[in-house]
Amino acid sequence: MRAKIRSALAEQLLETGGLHGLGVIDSHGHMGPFGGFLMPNAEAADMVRTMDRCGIAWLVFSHHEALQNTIKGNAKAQAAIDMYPRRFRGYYAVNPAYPDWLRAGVENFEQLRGFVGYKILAGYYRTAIDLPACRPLWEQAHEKRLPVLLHTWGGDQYAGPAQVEKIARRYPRAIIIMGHSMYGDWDSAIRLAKRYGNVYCELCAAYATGVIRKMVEDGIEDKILFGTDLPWFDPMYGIGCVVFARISETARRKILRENALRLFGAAL
Amino acid sequence: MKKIMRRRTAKTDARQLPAYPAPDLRLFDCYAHIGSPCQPPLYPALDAEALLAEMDFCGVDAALVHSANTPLASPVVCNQEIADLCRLHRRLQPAWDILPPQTDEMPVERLLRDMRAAGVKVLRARPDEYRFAMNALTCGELFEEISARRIPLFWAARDWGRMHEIVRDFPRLRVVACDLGCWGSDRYFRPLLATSENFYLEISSYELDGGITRLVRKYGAERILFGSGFHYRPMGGASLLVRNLDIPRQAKEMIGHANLERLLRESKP
Repeated sequence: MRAKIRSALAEQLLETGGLHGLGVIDSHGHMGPFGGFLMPNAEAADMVRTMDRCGIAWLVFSHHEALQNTIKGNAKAQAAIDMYPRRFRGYYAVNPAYPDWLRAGVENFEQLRGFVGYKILAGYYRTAIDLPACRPLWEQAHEKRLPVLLHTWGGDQYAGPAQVEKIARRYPRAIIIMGHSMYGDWDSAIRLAKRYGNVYCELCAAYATGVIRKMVEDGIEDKILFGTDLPWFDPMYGIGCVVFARISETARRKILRENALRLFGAAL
Repeated sequence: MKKIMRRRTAKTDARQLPAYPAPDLRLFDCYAHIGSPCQPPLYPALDAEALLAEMDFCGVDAALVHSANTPLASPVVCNQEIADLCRLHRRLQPAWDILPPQTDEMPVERLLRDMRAAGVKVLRARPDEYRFAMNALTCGELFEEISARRIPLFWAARDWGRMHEIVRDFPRLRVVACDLGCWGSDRYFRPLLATSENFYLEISSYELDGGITRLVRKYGAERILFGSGFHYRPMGGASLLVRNLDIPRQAKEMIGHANLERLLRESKP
């Protein structure tokens, strides 16, 4: 049966199979094979095909290999951005456990092409985002108004609410993107996004029932970013969660494009 | 277990037809929940009306309903609740939870008799929640009966080693691995898809980009079932993903509803 939702976006999705023309911006992606499980569409060309199918204009990503070896992996991200300069932008991945690499990355950041900010997978590294090793990164992000995508999860003590709040206060011009929106600890994520102008919620892997509706009802529709973790997840799932959320059409458009455009616009 | 040959039939080869959307695709959700769990989702479906409203909103025709009132409430009670609730709504079909027969809470004969009376065609195993061992010693008698009667058994995929053993020990048992988790589980379930014709997948949390397309190409669409995971997971995401999969219409029909309808038809409690 046909869905009874009343939405031009839903109608377009159902009739054409994508949101072509809207210019969806995916603020949280990766690239390359992953050890944890099979990813059939992990190479840049495969990902562009997926983006085309779904109607995603831009993907901001960090390379899987960069999460392990920042030197080699970020170079691969650079190559992909150079190959698809109108589809990809990069987060330069850093690991505070390797402070020399981190410092070198920050010093070299301005020389890179198409990187818009940084990515820290703090919980995996068990290194908190407020460690002294991260200071050069946050100082630069503050100075240049750069986005920093964090992996945040409920109960995390490395990039949890306390650490995010501390950084948001200390570096108010740095843009903090809470990847996965503190999964499960939605109230903390919403509180931080509401309280600090430089803190955003990002949705990938955070599509539990009602989360988007709650965020919008709690007043942060201007602070929510769409993300998919591509090539982990078929973007159609996340797009469906946004479009079939019980929120206004205006809020859907903000989440899928306009909020990210405000953050990344100059770099796209 | 016998080796399943690649089922690349003309009807299900994803490469033969271009992808196209299916706004009118019939969807029969095999994994929806109603109830008041101890740790509820943000907007729990407490009654049939809440589930039906979401189904209408997302365009889902029918649903196989599992109880969310577990594990503190007895499955004996929850099973009856779900049956009563579904009896009032033609679009909803009940699924029941099992207990091992040795404790006399749910003797096999009585379970089957009650299933027939309530029109129940599907069972679900929750061994961790209800504290029993999912093995031949505990469940052999029950599994032999439900294998012979082709009653599908849903089982949340947590311990894949145990699942491999059960599928090996009961080759005629129709096992539906559900709730796979969003981390891809291909390395766990593909050996089962490759070797057991009675092993099925429920895909509510199998979001892997390109995953279903490749499964259809390699194993056919016959053992893949659309599920939403609602009320824990959004129905809109799962339903849109299936509608817009890059596979032929016939494979979508199988995944969207026909495979489950066949399982229900063939189930004879």
